[in-house]
Amino acid sequence: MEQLIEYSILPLMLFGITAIQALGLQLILGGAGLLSLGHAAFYAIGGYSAAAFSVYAGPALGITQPFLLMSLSLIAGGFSALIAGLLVAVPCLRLQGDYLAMATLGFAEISGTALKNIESVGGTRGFTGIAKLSSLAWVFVTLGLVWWALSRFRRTGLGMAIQATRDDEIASRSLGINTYSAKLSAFVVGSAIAGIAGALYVHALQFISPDEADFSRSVIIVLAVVIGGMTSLFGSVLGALILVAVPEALRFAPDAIREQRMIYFALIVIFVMLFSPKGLQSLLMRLLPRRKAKTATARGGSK
Amino acid sequence: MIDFIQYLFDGLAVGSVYALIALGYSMVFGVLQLVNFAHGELFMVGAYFVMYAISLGLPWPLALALGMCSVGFFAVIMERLCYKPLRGAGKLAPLITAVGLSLLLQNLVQAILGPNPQSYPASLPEGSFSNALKAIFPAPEKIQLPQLPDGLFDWGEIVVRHRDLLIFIVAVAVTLGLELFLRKSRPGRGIRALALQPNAAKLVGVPFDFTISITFFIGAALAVLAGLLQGMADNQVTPYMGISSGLKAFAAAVLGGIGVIPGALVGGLVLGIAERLLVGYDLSTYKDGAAFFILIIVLLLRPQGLLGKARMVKV
Repeated sequence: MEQLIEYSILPLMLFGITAIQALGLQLILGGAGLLSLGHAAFYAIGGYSAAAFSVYAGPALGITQPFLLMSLSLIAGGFSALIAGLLVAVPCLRLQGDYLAMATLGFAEISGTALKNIESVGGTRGFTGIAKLSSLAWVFVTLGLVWWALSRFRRTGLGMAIQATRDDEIASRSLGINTYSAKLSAFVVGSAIAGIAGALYVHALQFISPDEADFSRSVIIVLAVVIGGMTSLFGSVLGALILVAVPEALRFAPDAIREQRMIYFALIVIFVMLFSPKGLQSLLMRLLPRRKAKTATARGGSK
Repeated sequence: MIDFIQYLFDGLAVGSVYALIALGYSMVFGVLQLVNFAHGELFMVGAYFVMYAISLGLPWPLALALGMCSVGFFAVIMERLCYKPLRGAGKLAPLITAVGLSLLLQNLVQAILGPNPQSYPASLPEGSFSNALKAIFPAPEKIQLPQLPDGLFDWGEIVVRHRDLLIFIVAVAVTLGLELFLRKSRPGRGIRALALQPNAAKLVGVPFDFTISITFFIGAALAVLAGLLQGMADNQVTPYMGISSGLKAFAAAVLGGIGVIPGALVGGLVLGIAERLLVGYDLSTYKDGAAFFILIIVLLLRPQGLLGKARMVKV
């Protein structure tokens, strides 16, 4: 039993971190309707900056108290990802749909390449020697705070402007909504949240490598958001749970299945999309008809 | 300066392979507005298929034709099973399915044929399936390996390999042939009509599903050709070659102007040459980012791509 608890701590933390990333992307993808294929880049940038802060800047400033150092690292991670998000969004948000997706994908590949070439953070070998400051409590408290903040944010004027822009950009503009700044704020806030997740990750695993900015990592977060159901915060967390739990659970399956678990995972992804293109959350809603009516009026229907 | 010209020639081969893959992305995007992320895996599967077929003793033209047809039909079936049910379900659902398919193919190949790179003559892993194959095709005494020409054009300080030039000529010929097919033939005109105005095309009787199948078939067949060329040039295929070349080929398609056939060729060549230049000037660690750096710059200055035409969006 004790072993089981010990074993499950890491997957649980990874679930929390993936859920935070997914919540950030949910704001961009489900909230503003912008497809970002480079979300992992902001996560990696946040992670690297937070690690650089706690390894180099913190001790130089004389901060050694773990709680303070971790809090400041989270801020450093979120802030650097926010700046990176701004750098991408200001020029690229002029692009439409698939071109924007391509530009974000490109940005992720570029940041991965750049990180590989910065020797002071480990280059291709990755950044090591980071203190273990993060814990299960840090991850889940942050997850709770992000979730709560985002659910409040949806009901603010800006949050509604973002959703209106997603539903119909031209109609929103004719109502006097500044659609560019609505999209910009969604993108930047979503990126900052990814950076915070990165900060939690590096201080949990005490390691980060440029691979974290890979296209495949970005894809995993997009999968989490879409599989869960991209119009709700709950859907993103559900998606993150599935993406972390299914491969972990398949480890305990019989040998024949375990060795090929990526194949089964890919099949599950394809079947979920074919049978429930709006995500698992909508499948759950169909099974629980009463909740469906409530949320449908609250959200005013979704695309 | 001499170095620079030399690198331009050296980049032709890799750029041409990108271009052949990019054509498939570009055509599918043109008719369905779908980024078929599994397309890079078709290139990988094709490369394996052709390599094994040749290693089992088939002459290379037959192996290539067989590979193009089988992978082409596979792509058609894939579209019918996985993308067609999702038409009208928004843009994201088919995109995610494509990503799932890409993961599936990559891991299936890895599970069946092993994660290690294969080179000519490729040997099948032990197993009942491959034993059955070996019973049908007894191992040939001497395998006729496909040989790309080995020679060189030596123009004083600039040296061009026949091999690179041949790959480039194949890519140009295929692009021209495809453009001709799209302009002159009946199914080709159907593809262009669907790309231009899907509803109007359906009204005047363009068979929608059939035309889309043709598009997928041609795209996959060209990816197999690219796989053969790449496999012969590097003498190596891996389960991961689809994901890296696929992404760059997609970047090439967008760079040249997605949906524009010659654009794919131009985009592929630009990326291939840019990568070769970086390697030549000792910046090879920046190689993988370069393709996307160029892409972003071009997208910002000319969002429709190098050869694309800007379209008005009607409200």
